[in-house]
Amino acid sequence: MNEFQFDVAVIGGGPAGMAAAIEARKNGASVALVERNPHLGGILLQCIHSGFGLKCFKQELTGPEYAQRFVNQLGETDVTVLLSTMVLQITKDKKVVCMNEKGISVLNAKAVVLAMGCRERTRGEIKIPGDRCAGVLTAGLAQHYINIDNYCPGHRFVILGSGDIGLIMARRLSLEGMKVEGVYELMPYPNGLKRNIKNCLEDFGIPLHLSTTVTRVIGEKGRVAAVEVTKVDEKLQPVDGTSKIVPCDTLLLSVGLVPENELSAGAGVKLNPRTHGAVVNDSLETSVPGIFACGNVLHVHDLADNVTVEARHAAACAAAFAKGEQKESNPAITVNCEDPIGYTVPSEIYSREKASVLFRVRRPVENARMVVTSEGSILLQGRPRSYIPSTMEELVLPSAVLQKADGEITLKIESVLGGENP
Amino acid sequence: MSTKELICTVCPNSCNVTVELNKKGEPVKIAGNRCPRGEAFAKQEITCPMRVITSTVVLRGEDGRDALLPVRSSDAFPLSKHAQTMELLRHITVRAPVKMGDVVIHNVLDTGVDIIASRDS
Repeated sequence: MNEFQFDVAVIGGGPAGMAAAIEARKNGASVALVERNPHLGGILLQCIHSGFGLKCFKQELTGPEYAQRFVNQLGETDVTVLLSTMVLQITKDKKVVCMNEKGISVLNAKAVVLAMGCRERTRGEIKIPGDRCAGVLTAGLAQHYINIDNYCPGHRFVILGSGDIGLIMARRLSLEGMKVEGVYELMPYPNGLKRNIKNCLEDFGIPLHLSTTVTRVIGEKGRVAAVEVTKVDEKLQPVDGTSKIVPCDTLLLSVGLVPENELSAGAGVKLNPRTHGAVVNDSLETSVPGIFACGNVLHVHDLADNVTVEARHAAACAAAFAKGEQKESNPAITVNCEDPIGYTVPSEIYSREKASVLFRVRRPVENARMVVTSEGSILLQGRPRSYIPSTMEELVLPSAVLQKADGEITLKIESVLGGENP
Repeated sequence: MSTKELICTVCPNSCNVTVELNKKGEPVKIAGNRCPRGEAFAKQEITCPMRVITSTVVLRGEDGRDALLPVRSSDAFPLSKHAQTMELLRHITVRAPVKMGDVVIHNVLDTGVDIIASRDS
């Protein structure tokens, strides 16, 4: 069995992994990047639509263009890129066991950056009753069929879930001459970015039905023939007498993404039950020293640009760890959050200079302000504004706040009552 | 006088923009945008919505095998011309090797924008 030594091993060659590998190398580390597919780019390659790069490149790029820029940058480095290579195991002491055509090899790394991305939730996970026929697939799989494989997965579609991939696919299918009967969303608000509702549904006259879900799949001769859709009440329970049959031959599911953390769990990394990603500190280091996480394997992002920024931070910290640079010796500040905030990344802060906290709300709130407290005293108050679940938010905590924090901080979003001016 | 609600798609801020229209349907007042780009966007959106188009064309590989090449328009062009552009793209085969940015269709439908390759192949 071949063994290799690297300062930093990056697992996954999508947007997070490529940015992490480049950044770790820039920080002086020797780097290996491991990707299971025969090419770099990850899911960006099937995201042929534009909307990438607005933050990192100040222009609107397509997914493949965004990926190509990182592929080109990587080509100019001496990062060891292992394609068609599957990571079988990562151990606590940062041995990365890989398999490819040549056999099994072990990368002995001083630090590991997890960048494996996420996968789509399937029919089984949301338990749609009805016939188990062909023609039920996830939106991202349909995207791969159409944009990479040149297959036509159906002719008449119903899309369940208003996540971004579902919306993007509604447009893609329409452009390719297929019929999209409608997008159905369980929640009373859309789950995708506003720009996608506009450019993907409104431009093509595709209806969006909120508070409505698919309650049955109806098959004929082994293929979807129709779906039953039903309105739901405030408790998300189907309302009797509101069902309708919508004829179609394909049901696309765009019902959420889950970080792919089997390898992380195997390494003993503690996971956050809310994000299904690792619990990390402000260096994006997991509960296992020297193992870092970034991108959609950490928490699901809505913009690839944010993944890139996060990956660079994780990689810089991983490179520093590999060099044996001392971590901040300050005591940890635990980051707590209260409803409607669903989670925060990180969950612990060591820095006293500046820290970025990413979070998402569980439901839309209007005219509300961010309040940061520590042991009951208010450290920071934001201006009143609206927050929606489909947009990941960033709160930058300045040194003044971190210095004052007493072992913990709590993030809250409080409704502003009365007629206060925003 | 009527009003129209728009979402500005210039940047991820996604401002809700309200446009007041006069009887002729011309924009007279634009509010809600956080930057001047939002105003320009709203005016354009009322008169002639512009979008970037992205799709794929057949790529004949050097080994003779066919794959798909992702393509895009070099800039936004009238949405009303997108259906016709798709029809053109359906009948195009490009030969490898291709570099990102290579022109696949020059000045598509006289719009002044090109259809270009989205990646190296």
